[in-house]
Formats: sequence, C-alpha cells, structure tokens
Amino acid sequence: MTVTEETILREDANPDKSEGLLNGRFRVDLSARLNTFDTGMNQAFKVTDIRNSDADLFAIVANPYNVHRKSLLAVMESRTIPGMIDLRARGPVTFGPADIRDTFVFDRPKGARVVPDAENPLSEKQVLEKILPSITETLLILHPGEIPHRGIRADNLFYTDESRRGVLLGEGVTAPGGSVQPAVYEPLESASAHVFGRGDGLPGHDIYALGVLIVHLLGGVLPRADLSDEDLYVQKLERGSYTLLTEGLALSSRVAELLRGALQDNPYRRWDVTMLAHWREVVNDPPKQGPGDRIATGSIIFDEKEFLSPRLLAHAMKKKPGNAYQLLESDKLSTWTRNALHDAETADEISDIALSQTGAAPGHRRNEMTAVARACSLLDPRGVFWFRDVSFARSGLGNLLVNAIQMDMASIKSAIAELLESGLLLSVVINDSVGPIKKRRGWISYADASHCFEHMKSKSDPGFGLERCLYELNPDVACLSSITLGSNVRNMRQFIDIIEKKLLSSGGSDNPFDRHSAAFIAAKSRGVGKILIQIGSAEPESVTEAVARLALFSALQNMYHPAPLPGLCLWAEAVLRPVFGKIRSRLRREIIEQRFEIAKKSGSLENILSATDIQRQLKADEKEYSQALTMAAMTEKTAAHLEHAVEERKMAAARYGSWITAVLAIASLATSMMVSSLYFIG
Amino acid sequence: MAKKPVQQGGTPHIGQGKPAFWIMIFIAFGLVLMPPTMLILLSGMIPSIVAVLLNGNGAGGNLAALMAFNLAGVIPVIGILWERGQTFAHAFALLSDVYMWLSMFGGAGIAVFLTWAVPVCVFSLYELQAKSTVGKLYRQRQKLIEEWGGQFAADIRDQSTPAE
Repeated sequence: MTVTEETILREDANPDKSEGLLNGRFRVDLSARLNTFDTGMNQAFKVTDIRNSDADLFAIVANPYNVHRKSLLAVMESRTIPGMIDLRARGPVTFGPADIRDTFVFDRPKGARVVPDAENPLSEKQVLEKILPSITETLLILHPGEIPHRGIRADNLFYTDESRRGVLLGEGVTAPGGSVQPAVYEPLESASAHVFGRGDGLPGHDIYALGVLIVHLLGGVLPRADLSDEDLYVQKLERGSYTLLTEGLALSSRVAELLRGALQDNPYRRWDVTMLAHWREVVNDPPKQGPGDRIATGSIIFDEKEFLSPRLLAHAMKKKPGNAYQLLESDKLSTWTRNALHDAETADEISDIALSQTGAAPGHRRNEMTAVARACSLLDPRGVFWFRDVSFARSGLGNLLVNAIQMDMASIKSAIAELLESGLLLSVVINDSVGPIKKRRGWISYADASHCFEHMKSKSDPGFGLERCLYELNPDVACLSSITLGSNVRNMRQFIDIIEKKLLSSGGSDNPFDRHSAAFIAAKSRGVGKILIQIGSAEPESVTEAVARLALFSALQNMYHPAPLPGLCLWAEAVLRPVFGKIRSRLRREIIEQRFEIAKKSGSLENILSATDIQRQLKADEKEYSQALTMAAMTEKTAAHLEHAVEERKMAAARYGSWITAVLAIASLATSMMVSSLYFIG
Repeated sequence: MAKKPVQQGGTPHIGQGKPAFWIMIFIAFGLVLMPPTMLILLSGMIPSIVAVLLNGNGAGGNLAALMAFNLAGVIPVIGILWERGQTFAHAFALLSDVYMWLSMFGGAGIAVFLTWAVPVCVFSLYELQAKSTVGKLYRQRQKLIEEWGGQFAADIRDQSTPAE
C-alpha cells in the first residue's frame, strides 16, 4: 500500500470530530448568527461552552483577509480588563477539512446595546457617572502600554445587565484599527485616511473617540451625520472639532470642559487617560479650542481660493495635484511657508523638492505626483500620507494593502506599488530619521520602507513585488494564496499541512505555487531565496522552472514537514509528467517513470528529485538524440547507396570472378604439368 | 616533360609485342626440332588461337585463363605422344582419338564456363550480402524510430533532405 492510499484510508477512518470546536471547549454554531456583534466584515455567532452550559458567549469568526490587532490581543489574553467584554478564548477553529477560521470567543454582555436616540438621549449624569468612569477604567489598563482600544463608539457599548447598572465596552481587537469607526470618531490625524488605512493609532485616538462618544450619547444622534466624510474633515480643520461637534448642544460647563480636553485637534494638547481620570480635580487651566490647524499670518492663493491653514491647503492640493505642482514650482509655497507660517525648516525642504524637479520632463505625471505628495506630507505632518488614490495614517499602510487586495482595487494597488517602488516613502522616512524625534511622522518604519523598496525592485518575480510587501507589512495576515485562502494559514507548517490536504483531495491538480504563496514562503521561511530567484529567472512553463518549483517545496518539506507528503507527490507528478514527455528516448522515459513511481511511494519530494534527476537526464537525452539522428541519417544513406550500387557490385563481381578464374587456371596448369611430368617422366 | 601518347585500343593484345615474338620463335624451333609434338600442340591449342585472333579488346585475364586451361588439357596428350614415341603416326593416332580432343578442348571449355559462371556467382553473393546489409540497416533505423518516436523520423527526413 502506498503512502497516498494509507493517508486517504486514515483520514476516512478518522473523521474530524472537533469541527467547530475551539480549544476542545467552545463550540461555534455557524447557523446561529448574532448580527449585533458583527465587526466590519467579521461575523458573530453563538457559542456553547461544553463545560459550562450556563455561560453566555459569542464568537467573532474572522474573514480570511482579516488582520487582528496583535498588541491589544496580547493584553486581552493576559488579563481581564475591567469595563470591557472579556476575551475567553481565541484561535483557529476547523469548520471543514480545509475551512479553518480565526475565531475569538467573548463573554456576551447580559444587557442590551446602549442605543441613544434623538428623543431619548442619555443624561449628563449617566454619561459622567456611569459611562465615562467605566471606559476610563479600561483605558487606564491599556494606555500605559501605548495600546489604544480603537473601538470606542456608541454602537460598541453595552449595559452590563438588564437593570443597566453599568456599561461594558465592546471589543476592538478583531478588526483593523479604526476600520469600523464612523468617520466622525476619527481625529484629524487619521480622519482623511482610507477607512482601512486609519492604522492602530495612539492612545490619543481613544480620547478623541471618547469625546465624540459623549457628544453622541448626550445628543442622541451621530454627531454631524449631515456632513460627508470630506466635509467633516474640512470643517473640523476650519472650525475645530469641539466647535463643530457640539454646535447646537446645550452642555454644562463641566461637560464642555471635558469635551474641550478630549476633542483637542492638536494631539500634543489633547488630554491623556490620566487627565481624564482626574479631570475634575486637576484642571485649573481650561483647554482652549480653536481651528483644527495652525493659522498662517498671511494667505496663499491656490486654485482661486485663499488659504491660511497648511492642512487645508494640503487637502486642496491633493485634489488638484497638477495645479499644486505649478504652485510648488513657482516657489510661492516655500515663500509662504517661510514668511507666513514662520517655518523655515519646512520651507527649505519644500524648496529642495521644487529644485529636485528642475530639469524633469514637463507634465511628467509621476514626478509631479511625487513632488506634490512630498510637499503635502510636509504641510500636514500629523495627518495622513497621501499619494494618488492612497491615503493612510501611521501604521495604516499594511491594512490598506490587505483591503486593496481583498477588494481587488486596482487603482489603490497600483498606487501603493508605485509609492513603494519609487522610493518616495523611503525618502520621506529617511528625511524623518534625521530630524528631531517629535517631528517624526511615523507613517511606516524605516525597515519596512527599505525592505519594501528592495522587494519592489524585482516586482515581477515570484516571492517579490506587492504580495511580498503585503506579508512583510502584515506579519500576522494569513496566506492569501488561492489554495490556502480560508484555511487560516499563518506559518509554514500550517501552509504545508493545508496544501497537502488540498492536493491530496484534488489528486494533485491544484497549484500550490502562485504569487501569494511565493511571497508568503519568502516572508516566512529562510534559505529559499536562491530557489525563488531561479524560478523568477527561468522561462515560464520551462523544465528549469518546474524543477525549481519542486526544489522549493522539497526544501520546505525538509524544513517544516519531514514526514511523507503524498499530496505534494501527486502535485509533483502533475508537474513532472509533461517534463517526462520531453524525454525523447522511450527507454529512458520508461526508466525515469519507473524510478519516479518508486520514489513517489516514499512521499518525499527530495527522493523524487534525486531519483529522476530530470535535468541531467534531459541533457543526456538531448545529446543521445543528436547522436541517434546522425546515426540514423548515416544508416539511411548507406542503405540507399547499397540499394542503388548494382552496377558497382557487377563490376566488382567481374573483377573478382576473373581473378578467381585466373587463379584456378594457373593452378590447373601447374597441376597438369606436375602430374604429367610425374606420370610420364617419373 | 611531355606525356606519352595513350595507346589506341587500350591494353596491348596477346600475340602482339614481345610475347608474340617469343611464341613465334618457340613455334618455329618446335616445328623444326619436334614436328609431331608441335602438331598436337597447335591442334590442341586451337581454341586459344581462335580466342587470341578474335579478342578485340581487353579481357586479357580471361584469355590467359583460357590459354592456361587449354594448355593444361594439351599437356597430358603431349605426354602420351612422348611416351609412345614422337612420330607423325602416333600424333595422327592421338588426333583421331575423340577422348584426346575432349581432354584438350575440355580444358578450354572449362575456362569459358568458369569465366562466365564465377563472376555471376560472385555477383549473386554480393547481392545477397548487400540485401542482408540493407535489411539490417533498415531494421536498425526502425529500432531508432521506435526508441526516439515519430518526431525522430521527421527529423531524419529533414536532416537527409539537402537544404534548397
């Protein structure tokens, strides 16, 4: 019995009884949806605790593209956080042979969701005495470790019980930071970013969101729901968040004071959690509010409008990069920054950008975009980084890239690819690194920018390009290869296990090597770089490429799964059969196929490669074919010559016949003379 | 150095040149010294003499073979003559014996037969050998095609066909 047959029999005999079970205890019921607890694209389901039937739990089952928040998860797994729903368990749950999903099991709040409405808003007393202390208690655990919750919003707040004695903050760990938040809850640092590019943010993001939550609960409706996301951002900049969001609300002086501190648009002046915990005692100097940005002493005209705020100007420039480039080239921007903003350092950098464009081909869109993006990043250093269709806040690029790949957003993918490939982001990071720490903008780390720049150099090769950047920027994202999608593959061992299962069930017809799997392998394993380069440099569908692919998986088998892998061997057969077909010698082909069949039974790709030694065999075959061709041609020529050489043979026969006759004649004459002389004389 | 002119008619005929001269001397001396022997010799060698006279071109080897066989048949008859005594009576007695003629002309006949039959036999052997070799070559070619596949046959044709 072969290894393949044994494996199939074993799997048939032992059907997985742990389907839908987490840690052998929590059974997730995919038929019982709990929409209330859905977060973004992750769905919530009912959970039964096998050991405690009284436990009221729910599970959030992550979608395959989901990137959870690792830092917050680490805290939630290590301890119970007061004021927040408790994470009971987390891990991959198997729902089918290759259907494995990352699952988070939480305690289900006994009370209902805190749902304010315009007619029944919450009272100041409820907010300040029940909700604010509860959330502050949670943040006091998280913020000292610089870990924001990023899920503070009205629809993520639940009563602890039916009598509404207290509140619990919902989870903020399963979805990418800020991706579920309404735009109004986002501070100016991330408000104009793409939803999935808002990033994990800083503790200040939570304080701001808490301020908006208070306004939401007191007003009963989502603040400024009448404005679009863009108008909201512009008006926050023009008027300041506090003024914009509290407009029309009758607030007591103490709530107004609290909101002034929490809704500060300047993150350095925004309150922190310690201030929030003691705000009644420590505030002697009430925080001042104003526009969301510094105001210049003089205006600059762009696109027929006057601008006093650099952030608003940057926002307008992003909308019309062609005009913005002209402004940059004219040096007016640099002059305005120096004279009206009194920021000589930024003015010098803007001048450098304009100077670096001297001599560039006019209208060269890529150069213009790059220059405008750099200038905007200088004008709005605390805001989002913008380039073409891409905008992301600090640490938000990775999630944005995952989302672009999930949604197959070509424009965003191409913009990110260009951003990483052009070195624009790397140059911004390098510029940051030479300045003071406080001025560092931190959109991406130097290491990430540098690695991505390198990976984009060989973007067309498997194991490099945008896919590689995806796995480098998001070390926790599951492998998004078509063969492993939906199987929650996060490391090489799991990768090998899953492709083995898939290949075994498909008889080796699936393809375990695509751009995503190559990038995943390159990012997660060591020592396979040379093989990936070989694959990249080989002609597609060539023997070299096929053998290099097998060599790659052979190396992976040796490193991560030394046991027999019959599924991979079936795939190897599918890859090698066409290669065997290229062997011209029937005998050699039969021998190689026999050797392959024997090696296949071992379940080892290395054995298959060494037994078939296909490249050397093909070379020998080619050489022998050439020799055989020459021999056959000579044979044919000789045969044809012999067939047509009748006259030559006749002439030769005549010559030889004459010679024989002459010999016989001389012999008979001599004999006659001898015999006669002996007879008559002797 | 000027080339010698090529002799018309190819190789020199038997009876021409020096050999013919010495044969004539031998015959002249023979007729004087032992006329009965010369009678038997000239009578027995008639096929060779006829062949020499009729030989237009070439076949010197065959003529020599004919003469050798003819002489081989004549020598025993001359031996008998010498044994009985060299007289014309004995010479005529021998010439009247049909077996003596059979012996003398039989040698020439054997020579003619061998001259015709041996090349035919040799040619037949050559043909058989060539056919066997051709068969062997075709079998070898067929084996190569079986080993290397249909494309191989096409490639052989391409290689065998001279480029236009």
